[in-house]
Formats: sequence, C-alpha cells, structure tokens
Amino acid sequence: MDITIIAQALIQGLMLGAIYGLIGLGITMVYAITGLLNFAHGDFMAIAMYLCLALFTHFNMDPYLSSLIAVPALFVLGLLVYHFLFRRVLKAELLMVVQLTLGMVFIIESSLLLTFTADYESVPNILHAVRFSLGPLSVSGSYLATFLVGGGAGAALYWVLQKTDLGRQIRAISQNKDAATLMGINTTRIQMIVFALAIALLGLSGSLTTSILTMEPYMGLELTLFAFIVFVMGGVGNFLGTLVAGYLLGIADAMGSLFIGGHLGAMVPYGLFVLLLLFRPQGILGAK
Amino acid sequence: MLVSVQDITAGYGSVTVIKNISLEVDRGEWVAVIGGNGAGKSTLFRVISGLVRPRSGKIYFEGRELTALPPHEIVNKGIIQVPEGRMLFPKMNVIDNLLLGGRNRRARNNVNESLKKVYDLFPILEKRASQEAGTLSGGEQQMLATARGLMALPRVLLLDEPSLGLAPLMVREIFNSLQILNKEGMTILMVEQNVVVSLKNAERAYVLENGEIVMSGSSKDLINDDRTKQAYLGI
Repeated sequence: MDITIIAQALIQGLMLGAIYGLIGLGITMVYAITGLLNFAHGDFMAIAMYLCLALFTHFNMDPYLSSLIAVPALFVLGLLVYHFLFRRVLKAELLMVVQLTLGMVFIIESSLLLTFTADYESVPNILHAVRFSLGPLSVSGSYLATFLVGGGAGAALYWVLQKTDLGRQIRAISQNKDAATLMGINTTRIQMIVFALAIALLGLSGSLTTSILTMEPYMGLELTLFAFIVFVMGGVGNFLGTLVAGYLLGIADAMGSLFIGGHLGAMVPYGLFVLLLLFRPQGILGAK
Repeated sequence: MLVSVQDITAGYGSVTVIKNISLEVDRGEWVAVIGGNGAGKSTLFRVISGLVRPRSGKIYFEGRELTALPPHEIVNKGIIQVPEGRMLFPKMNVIDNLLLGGRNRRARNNVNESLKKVYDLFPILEKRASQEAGTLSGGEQQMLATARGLMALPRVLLLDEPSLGLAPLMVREIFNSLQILNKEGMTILMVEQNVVVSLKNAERAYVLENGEIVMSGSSKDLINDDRTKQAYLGI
C-alpha cells in the first residue's frame, strides 16, 4: 500500500476528527452541567449549513464569511431554545427530555425539507479549489482550514475549561451543583451560556464543512449519533477524552472509506466503538 | 442583630422538616444549633443559604430580608456555608477549590491575601496545593472546606457539622483554628451533633429536636441544665 495514500487518509481523518471533537464537546459540556442529552444536537449543525447555503444562494456569500453570521446566530438560537424549551425539562423525567429533543429533531428536519427540498447540496468556499502540496501529499485548502480552525477551536475551548474562571465554574457545576451554588455561582446562567456555546460550536462546524460534507435535511440525527459515540468513547463527561475520541473516530471513518469503502467501510467507526465498549467501557480516558 | 431567622417553616414535598424556627446571631458571636440526626439542622442551613425555599417565615441579614434572594446573591452578601459532608470539588486540585471559594463579588479582588491567610491557618493545604481534593484525608478535606469558606470573606460563617467523621485530635485542631477566627471577629453559626464540643466553643446554643427549638441559652447554662445533661451528655 502506498504510504502517501495512508497519509492522505490520515489528514482527512484528522480534519473529520476535529469536527467530531467539536460536536462531541458540545454534548459533553451540556451533559456535564445539566445531566441531559440533546437528541437534536446535530440538527443545529444542519441549520448552520443550510444558513450558509441560503447566504450563498442569495448573496453569493462565502461560507467562511457566513460563519461570522452563523456562529452568533446559533448562539442566540441556543439561548432561546434553552430558555423556552430545554430549561423547562431540567427537573423532569429523562423520557420527557428525550421526547422534547426528538420532537425538535422532527420540527427542524421537516422545516429544512419544506424550505430547501430534499436535494443533496454543498457550498464551495474560497479555499476549496486551492491545493497545498507537502512533498508527495496534496491537501485541499478547505480540509486544511477545517482542521486548523476546528482543531484550534477545540483546543481553545479545552484551555478555557481548564484555565479560566468560566471553565472552573463549569467544572464545579459538573462535580457538585449545590456546592457550586454555595460558591456564589449563578448556575442557571452558566447552564444557559454553556448550552448556547455548544450550539454556537455547531455554527462554526457547519460553516467549515459546507464544501466537505453533503447536506440534506435529515443529516442531523446521524451527526447526533456520531456526537453520542464520541461522548461515550471519550469517557462520559471527560472533556479531553471527547476531543481525543473525535480524532480517533475521524481517522477510523477516513480509513474505513479509503481501504474498504461503501457500506462496509462506513461501518468501521461503529466497529471501533463496539470494540472500545467491549474492552474499555469506561472510555478512552475514563469517566469524570 | 446580624442574622435574624424569624418563624421559619420548611420541608421537602409534603414533609415538614423544621417548624417555626426563630434564632438570632449577633456580630462576632459564635452560636451553635445542636441536635441529633434528622432534627432539621441541615435543612435550616439550606434555607438560610437559599437552596431550599421556606414555606413561611423570613430571614434578615443586617435588617434586610434575604428570603427572596437567589442563592448566589446570598453568597455575595457574605453569608457563606461550609456544607455537611464538605462538598468539595473532588476532581479539582486544592488551589482550584480555594479559587472557587474566593470568586464571589465581595471576595474576588482579595484572592491573593485570602490565599495567604488560609495557608497560614492551615499550612498543610499549601503542601497539597496541586493535589486533587478527593485524594485528601478526611481531616484535610474538612480543613479545605473551611478554608474554601474563608476564601469567600464571610461576614457570617455557617458551619454544618465541622466535627463529623473526624478523629478527636483533628476535631481539636479544626476548632483551635475556628477559635482563632472567632477571636479575630468572625461571626460563626454552627450546627453540630457533638454537644460537648459545641458547648465548649460556642457562647450560646439552641437545641433542635424534631424540627423545633426546645431549649436555648448560654452554653454555660445549658451545660449545667439537667435536661441537657440527661438527653445529650449522658450524665
């Protein structure tokens, strides 16, 4: 097997991994401080991608430029969804939360279908046709940008969680909510900010991948599934583990489609997940 | 009066845990609430800190009503609780625990001086600074919980069972530190099962039984009272 092909697949895997890590980190953060899972998580990334499509069709706006709109727009959308919906089920039974967020899945997917039809779409960006050469390797500029910006955002967020006052507040709430309240932390406010931040990350992931991932109205649930896998693989509630798991899954995904291909190749990431559950059920870096 | 609890009734669901409790703490005082398991001591503290809303009654701090404030605003006023079972952040190191203690609005500009002060009071914490809180011994954890409370620059310190689960020697060490703090002017309201330790350290005490205050007075009087002797001291 040609070493350059493996290297190409590795690069593609790292690019996908950076995005999986970002999506997963959102799920992990929200779970850590609310104890809840949002089944509509991936659908918000679909919203961001279709927002980029609309801005491209109507204003010919490059998706990278659209991210300046998509990220704040998704943050605000996150605040609204938290305030009017998610917050109300915080103390409800788990099944209520599943019902509510699955309901959101259907509403978002049907709205996208009605607005944009079921056609497969993608939006090129300014770097899509640019290729960077590194010896025998040739990398698409949009892949490189996705890896650098997505990976950078994941690393920056990890730094915020570990080193800043906001991060300390988030970790405190995840370890003992009552104690965090007794430290004077406004837990309601932090929960709302974190939920919105997780949705805003999808605004970034979506804008970065419009030329790489094909969009269709029902893509959200599959993204959510991948996010859940990353969430469990990394060790539930473990921020660093989530990022690492994202890269592992991305590489497995890229290698699977390169060396096996087709439906069987697409099963490789899930196979990796099953193996991990069998041999290391506490996750790569253990649960927090 | 610094703290005035007036006629508080509270509970969970349909269960009433404390009934018509009134008590007062003056500036610089050390007051104890003593009573056995399930007497309602921790519920009383959760109500004062705003974690549990009372069914009726009011709480005043320096003459201003606290009862309607959210818990983080109560902390910002300087009413700081060191909760039962310590409630540390086990996966964070000692420093991060202390910094979280000192992040409320009144305390945040004073963090460096506060750190120095709590390290003076509990030197072992400086040695353990980068260790995860969950790996400390029971006594060290109680010291960290107390230090984390002090980082918040309390105007009144609420201590929930500071002697719980500690060896007698460690209890003495913790209470020596509390004595120093109280002599420097710190107001302390403490709930305790350990009646002997409570009455030896606090100036006044209230006795809580089945959610109601059944006796109160100066520690000297209570220690000589026949009812206290029989029920709590076993003599």
